[in-house]
Amino acid sequence: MDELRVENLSMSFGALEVVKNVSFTITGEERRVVLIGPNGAGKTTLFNLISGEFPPSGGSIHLLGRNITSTPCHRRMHLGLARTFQVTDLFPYFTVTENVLLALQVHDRCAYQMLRPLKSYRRLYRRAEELLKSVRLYDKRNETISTLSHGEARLLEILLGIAASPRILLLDEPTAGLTRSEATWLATLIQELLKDVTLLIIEHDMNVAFDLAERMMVLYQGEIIADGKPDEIRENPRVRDVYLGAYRE
Amino acid sequence: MERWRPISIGALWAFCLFVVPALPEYAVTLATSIIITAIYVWSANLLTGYTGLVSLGQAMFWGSAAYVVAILTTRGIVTNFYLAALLALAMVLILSAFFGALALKVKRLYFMVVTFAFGHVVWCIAMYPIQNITLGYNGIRGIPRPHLGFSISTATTVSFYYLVLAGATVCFTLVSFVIRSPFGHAIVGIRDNEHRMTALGYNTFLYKYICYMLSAVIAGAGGVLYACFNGYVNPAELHWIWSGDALMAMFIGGAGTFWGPLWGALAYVGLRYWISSYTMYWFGIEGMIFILVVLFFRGGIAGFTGRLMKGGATWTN
Repeated sequence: MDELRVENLSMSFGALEVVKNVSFTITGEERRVVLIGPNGAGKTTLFNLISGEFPPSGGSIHLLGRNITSTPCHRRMHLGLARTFQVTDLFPYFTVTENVLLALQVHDRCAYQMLRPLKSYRRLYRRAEELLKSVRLYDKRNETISTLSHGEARLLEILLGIAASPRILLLDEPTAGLTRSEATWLATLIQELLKDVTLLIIEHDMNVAFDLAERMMVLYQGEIIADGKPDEIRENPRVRDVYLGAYRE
Repeated sequence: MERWRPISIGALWAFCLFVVPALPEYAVTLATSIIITAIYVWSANLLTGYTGLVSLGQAMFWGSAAYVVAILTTRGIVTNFYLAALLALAMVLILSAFFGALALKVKRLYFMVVTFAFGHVVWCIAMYPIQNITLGYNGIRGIPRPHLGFSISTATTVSFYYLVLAGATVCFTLVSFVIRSPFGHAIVGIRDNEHRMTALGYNTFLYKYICYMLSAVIAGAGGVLYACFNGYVNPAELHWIWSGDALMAMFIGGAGTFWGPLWGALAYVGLRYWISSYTMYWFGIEGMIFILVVLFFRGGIAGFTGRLMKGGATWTN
């Protein structure tokens, strides 16, 4: 069964067509699909359409064989989809653990529980601790977000995405703002941690993008102009012309 | 801070239970008024302080409940206090379910404007179209003190004070449970970052809707007790100014803090009582105090005392 199928997806802001008839299918055999393209190509808008933040102007989205085009954003997250954001988007007044708990409790039967303290749900705390240990943030568990470094905040951002064990995770520039060594480390961590999750990743760091990708798609002015294996994309003259330029590796 | 909470709650409750009733009658009356106001401010705090929904329609629920009790008891339709209170709260629940479903379609400033408009509509209805029932500007007088059954009378100041204390304890316990629960954790998350909560899978509308109705019922409970306490209700109980007063008391006490509503009610009622004995311009002085608190005491009295005790302000203090 296809994990994610997008058919003729379009999105316009007034007269500006940001996403134009985009179609692609991600099967369960491809674990890491990387979406690249210049700024303003419509990559984040495409993510927003898939995650349900914007309603599309046309086309359809199918998640695990189910048409989710008109499914509300929050429902999609319960159907196996999760996402992270380009700009770190956390809960600044909560501790690191409380941030992770928010991502966990929504998928637990206690989500609407009003009369029992959150602290009594030991299973949630245990799971939060496991997750924090897996990304080496356990030592920071009682600190608030403002005390974290940018790299740690990016890690936590990804952790909120994977906390609910999604089938498909949309990672919007996970290495944004990181140094080269941090980005490489994070890419390795993503490969290790998310073996069983299908990833659709927007990435501007071409080293990371080519390291991670099993398949690549190139979005340019709202259209997919190339789709294939990393080597094919690297050699594609149109992609070189509009985006990769002198990139060689 | 957290470890002191049970001790401070116990000490406060013991003070209210044993010390206040021994005070002169006017002090007991003042304490009753403060506690009823605290219930009302708790409702505003749950909605605004914890969920981030700034409403100018909270008086609609307080006043509606007060009017229902007033109409039912003064006309002899219902003589049982429990039934009258239950009907009043049911009315508030229906009102909040209706208005909440509409108001929560919009966000932030628009939500405030819509709640203001709804509150004003209800005030106008009470004032004009149904004034043969509500008695318009004159209001309804002669609301009896409730009979609780088992020969328990609330006719005296102290006995009524105990009834109010019991009601406040129920509301306080309820709010206290809610804000520590997973639901409470979620509503604070919605206040801080609703966009991300949706992306995590939260149906933020439903959370806010439940919270809106819950806060309305708590405000209604305050209204029921107020009607019996005052023996008189008038349209001012429905007016948006009273909704603004709840916000003002909440900010003075500390929005989104555990003790804030109690501090706010204490400061608000206490100051009003104290200042008004010196000058008729107490409104202006109260306003200046509000401005000073907002400018210089971030987090209100509760936030200030929290920082003094080194706990810092967290989502549960």
